[in-house]
Parts: sequence; structure tokens; C-alpha cells
Amino acid sequence: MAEIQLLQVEKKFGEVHAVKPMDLTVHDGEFVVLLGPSGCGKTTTLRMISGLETTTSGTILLNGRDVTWAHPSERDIAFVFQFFALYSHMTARQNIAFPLQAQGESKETVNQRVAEVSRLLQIEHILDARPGALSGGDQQRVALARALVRRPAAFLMDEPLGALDADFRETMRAEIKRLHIDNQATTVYVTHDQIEAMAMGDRIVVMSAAAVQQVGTPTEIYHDPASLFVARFIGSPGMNLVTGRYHGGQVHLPDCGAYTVPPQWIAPLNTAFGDDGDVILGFRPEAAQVTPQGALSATVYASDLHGSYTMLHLELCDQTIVHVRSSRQSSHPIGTAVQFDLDPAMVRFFDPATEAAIVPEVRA
Amino acid sequence: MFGLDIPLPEFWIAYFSLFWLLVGATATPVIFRHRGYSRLLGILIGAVIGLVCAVLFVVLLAALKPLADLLDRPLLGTLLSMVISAAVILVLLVRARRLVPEARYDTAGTRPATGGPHTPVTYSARVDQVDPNRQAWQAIRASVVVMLAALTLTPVVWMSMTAFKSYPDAVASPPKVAFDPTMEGIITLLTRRRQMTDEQKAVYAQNEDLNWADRVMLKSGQAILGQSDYVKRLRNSLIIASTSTVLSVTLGLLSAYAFSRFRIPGKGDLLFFILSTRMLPPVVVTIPIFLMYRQLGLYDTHAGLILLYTAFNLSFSVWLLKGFIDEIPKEYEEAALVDGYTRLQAFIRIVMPEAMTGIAATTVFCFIFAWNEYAFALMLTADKARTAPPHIPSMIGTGLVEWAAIAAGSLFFLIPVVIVTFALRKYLLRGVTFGAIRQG
Repeated sequence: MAEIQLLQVEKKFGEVHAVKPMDLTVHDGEFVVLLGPSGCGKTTTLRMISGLETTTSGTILLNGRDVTWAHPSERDIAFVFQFFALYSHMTARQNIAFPLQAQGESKETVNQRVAEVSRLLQIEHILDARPGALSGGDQQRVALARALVRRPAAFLMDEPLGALDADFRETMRAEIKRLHIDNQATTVYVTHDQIEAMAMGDRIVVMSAAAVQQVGTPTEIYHDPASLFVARFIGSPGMNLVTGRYHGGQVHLPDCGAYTVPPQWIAPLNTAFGDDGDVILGFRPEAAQVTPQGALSATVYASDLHGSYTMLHLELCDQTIVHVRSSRQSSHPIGTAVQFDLDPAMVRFFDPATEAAIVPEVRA
Repeated sequence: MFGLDIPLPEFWIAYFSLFWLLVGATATPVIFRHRGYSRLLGILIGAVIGLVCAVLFVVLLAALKPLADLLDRPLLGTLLSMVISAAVILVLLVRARRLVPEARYDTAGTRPATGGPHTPVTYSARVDQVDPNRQAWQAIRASVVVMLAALTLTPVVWMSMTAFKSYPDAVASPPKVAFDPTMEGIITLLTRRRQMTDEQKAVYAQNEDLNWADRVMLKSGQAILGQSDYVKRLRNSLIIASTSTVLSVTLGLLSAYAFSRFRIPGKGDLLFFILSTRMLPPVVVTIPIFLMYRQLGLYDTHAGLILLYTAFNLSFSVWLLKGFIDEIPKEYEEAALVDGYTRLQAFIRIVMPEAMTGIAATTVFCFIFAWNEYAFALMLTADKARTAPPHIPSMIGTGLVEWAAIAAGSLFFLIPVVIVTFALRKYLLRGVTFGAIRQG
């Protein structure tokens, strides 16, 4: 298998940056997800790794070998396209065998490997059909089989589930995850779906505006977003962000009283702002609890039942809406005033000037 | 061609009678089948209705002739008869459906249940579910198509017939439909001959080694001397048309691929320039090209015409093929590149098969253009490289016109185009294999 390293890799189209210089190491056997809104450069990055796009500057190493200017066929990687790119003039079997024929494998080897991989993906019964006659899921399986059959050093997948129906996506997501666990193949996976990214990735690379925003495990990305962008982008709804003023160990929300900063955050906040400065307080919906003793007050703006829990939309005094999870049983009619409190372990702080998160020294 | 105003009533009588018969025989069974009768009965009744209408048409034509003559409009009679008999057959068909009682033995209610969960329902089993009026209209439309095709093919059929006629049969008036087929015309076309006096003929007939062609020509007192120019012309046509087609499709494919896939500076201008070579009527440039060719030694050479036709077809093939290649998603080749193929291999193994429809269509069009081209061939060739199109009219020459030979020449000229078109017919049907990539 393989380790992929990107060193200061950059892509410009004319004067426009498609990908600003980025560093990334994908370890052997790791499943790395490139996540970001469309146009953020994630697909371009993937195509540069595959060699389908040239780099403007920087170095790409595959197992320590410099492949920056190598032809795609010399890189020993497989690419799964969003729209599968199955050759319509060949049957599924010929499609799967196609990469092996490039290597000049003998007929027996080809047949055996095609049989193996189609058993693995359970597509033996459709091998003689043309792609046009297959369902989306079967087309996807054939595309995966074509990638797997060659046993490449690494897999690159460009939104492979994007073209499938929503409920079928779950099944295929599990299949791809399972394949990865069984084969331990280095995989780089591009998606704009943060749920997919959280579910599948060993590590997630969040990209936006051609630059890497944060690299981390799904837990890190979710709980410790490095910037306001990541905080907003991950989670549905994203992290609640409330602007306030930090002063004397408290965050003063305009007209809404003050939130007492948990003791472990006082030192970092003092370092960042001195004793007085604008700050953005961030918390996930599940970090808030509606209790009569809560320090923060708000009025109920709306509430939706999500089955297992109720999502309350609370309006603060400055008309910011925050989303708070509450238990299914509790009922809060619209317009009532409520108090809520935040779990001290789950609050985060951001600097509005730099948009970056305040990092406690223990972790820094 | 026959025009509507040509007083040739016999033809129209035959033609329309056949048409009504066809309509009757195809549309009525649908109705009768729907009512639960056997198809055969429908065909029979339909044929009767058709016959009634055909007779009506003939009678009307005769009856309206004085009126048409009076107004000096021969067309009027034919048109009126057509309209009236068409109205009658439509009314009869619709009425017939209303009047026919449902057959008692085989209606939907009493029909034994042959279906059920174990018998798969086929489409033909559900024919009774389709609106019979719709089916009847489809039958009528099909009849119209068949008759129009027949009308279009008439000149071709006539030409083929003339090719096998003897001279008296070919020029006979009224034209002969039944005749004794002879190979005279074809042999005349393909050979040079000498007219013999009676004594020469007698001596010639004594020859032991006369083949069948010699014997055929002996009847009209001619001795075959050798191959005619036509064979040479046809061979030239074949060489020039096929070489220039292969060249323009190959070059066109390569440049269309480059235009479609790579970032080329000034791409739009280049494409427009290529297209602009088409905007000039070819006749305008024949003289300059003639002068150039004479200087360059390309006058009356195969290479000269091949070059010209290739250049001419290239703009067409680049534009047409670019459209087809644009439709092939570039992920196809990218997948092949990643899978270990070079760009050339990806082009040959992926792009070419996927663009086969386009390649076939372009080939047919290029071939037809190069095959039919007349003006340049007339101007730029004299003998060595002269193609068939300028040669055929020159066969009319002076004196007696050998219609059979001319018809045979045109027939032979038609065959390669038909072969090329038929051979590539399967690829000309588009969209059969498209759609493996879902355009999100």
C-alpha cells in the first residue's frame, strides 16, 4: 500500500488560485476525506494526486517517490469518478478487465481477478450486461470493481455517491467503508456531504476558498473546529456562534446578561484579548441545556420535533437565533422565556478578527 | 419524375388504388380484432373497402374529366377524386367500427382466463388495451409512408429497368413496364465496340472463342474491342472518393479530438477559420484552383482531386466530429489514463468506439460528397483521373442516345453509395448505447 504526501502543492488557473499551497500526508491504509463546499479546490487536489491535473508548484510523493510530473498511468492509483465513467460500449466484465489489460496480464489472471472482485462486490450476475442497462448502484459497484481489480497503491474517489439516491447512498457508504476495512487500502475521498465525511473518514481535511481550513479526526473537527468556517460548516445545524464582549472572566452578551467563562478558558482568553475584547462564543446544540437555573435567557422562537429529540430555536436579546437540543418530553410553547446553561466542557471561543479558534495552552 | 399535372391518369389510378387497398387492408383488421373477430376477416373486409374506394377513385376521375377539361385544369380532376375517395374510406373505416357488432364468442367478458400470475403478460396480449382509433391511424400513417417511399423509389426502379432494356424498349412510347431483359446496355457501357458490315459479321460469327457478351452484341452487329472508359472512370471515382474520405475522417477525428479536449490558443478563431472554407461556393474557386493545379502539376492527377476533396470535407468532418466527441465525457479517457493507458491508447480504445456513430455519419457524408462531386472533377481532370460524374453526361454525345447504357452507368454509380450507407446503417441509429454516464 502507499503513503501519499503533498508538499506545498499549489494549483493556479491563470491568476486564480484553485488550490493554495497545501501540505498533507495520507498515511498507509488511511481513509482521508477531503470535505468542503463546491468550488473549494477539493476535486482539483484529488486530480493533482491522480495526475489528471498538473500542479503549478509543489511536490507530490507517493511512497517517497516524486510523482509530481509522472503520467497518471505511472502512479499506480485508481480513480472512482462521480458519474462512474463506465465505458458504454463494453460489458461490465470488459469494463472491470480493462485496467488489467493495460498491464498485459494473461487471460487466466484477468478472468480470475475479475471473478474474485465481482464476488467481493456481489455483481457476478450482471457481468455480461452493458452499463446502460444497470441501476445506479450496480454501475457504482462495477466502477468500484474496476478500481479494486488492479490492487492499486491508493484509491481516489471523487464524490462516488453523489449520483445515487439518498437512501441507497447509506448502503453504498457502508459497502465502501467495509471494503476499506477489509483491504486497508489508502483512500482519498472527496465529498461535500459532511455527514458522509464524518461517517467514513479516519481523518477529514476541511477545505474552503482553495485553502485547507483544518485537518483532523471527525471528533476533532466536530468538537474543536479550528475556525469559524469549520464551526459553521460541520454539523447540522452548525455550531451556535454568539458575539459578545470578554471582560473580567465573563462574556457579556448584549442586553442578555453574562456568561461566566469556565475556569480552564480564562487563561487562554486573557492571553488572546488581555482583559477586554470582542469574542465569539461557540457551542453545539447538544452542549446547551434548558434549565430554570440557566445563566442565559432567551425566548422560544420555534421548536421542531426530530423524533428522538426536540430542536429548540431560541432567540437571544440581540435577535440571534441559537439552536438547542432539548429532550423529547419537555414542551416549550413559542414565545415563552427560557433559561439555558452550557456544558463547560463543550464551549469554544473564537477571535472575530482572525476567525480562528482560541486554543487552550494545554493542547497547544 | 411524374408531376401531378402530367396527364398520366393510368399511373395515378394504379398508385392510388394501391394506396386505398393498403389502407383498407391494414387499418380494418385492427378494428375487427378489437371487436373480437379474426384478423383474416378484417383483412378481407378491408380489402373490399379498399377496392370500393379504388373503383370510386377511377369512376370519379372519369366523371370529373369533362369538368377538368372544361376548366383546362387536368390537376383538378385528380385532386378532387383523391379527396373524395379519401373521405369515403375514412368514413367507411370509422363507420365500420361502429357498425360491427361485438363478436359473441370472443369478447373480453367471455374470454377464458388465460392470464393470471403464472402467465407473463406480453405486449401483444395487451393489444386490446390500446385505443383502436389510434392503431387504425397508425396503420393509415404507415400506409402513407409506404406509398411515399414507393413514389420516391419509382425513378430508381425505372432507371434499373431501363438498364436492362434493349434500345427499342428503352425509347418505346408509352413506356414499357414488361420487357425482355437484355445485357446490351450494360455491355455497351463497359466496352468499346466496332460496327460490322454483314460480311464481317458472318466471318466474326465463325469465331470459336466468342464469350456470352460477344454473342449478345453480335445480335446488333457489333464486335467488342476492349474495355470502355467507364470502367476506368468508376475505378478513379472509387479510388479518389474512398481515399479522400479516409483522409478527411482521420484528420478530422484527430483535430476534432484536439479541439474538444485540449486548451488551444485561439481555438474559437481556428474553428471559425475552418468553417469559413465552407462559406465560399466551390464554383468561385474552380478557375484559380485550375491555374494553381496546372502550375503544380496536379492537373488531371488522382492526388490533385484527393487533396481537394479532403480539404473540402475536412471543415465538415472537424465540426461534425467535434460535436460527437464533446458528448463523450472526458472522464472516460481520464479513467483509462489512471488505469494505465497512454493517451493514444485511450483515444483508440475508448474515444473511437464511443464516437463510432459520429465517425460513421461523417464517413457517409464525406463519401457521398466526394463521390457525387461534379464541377471540380469536370474542370480539373481530362482523362487519367476523370471520375464518373463528369463522364456519364458525356456518354450522351452525338447521334443516337444509348439510354440503356446511361441508365446502367447511373445504376453502377449508385451502388457504392448504397453499400457504404447500408454498411454503416447500424451506427447511424443514434442513442442506443448512450447514457452509461449520468449527466447530473
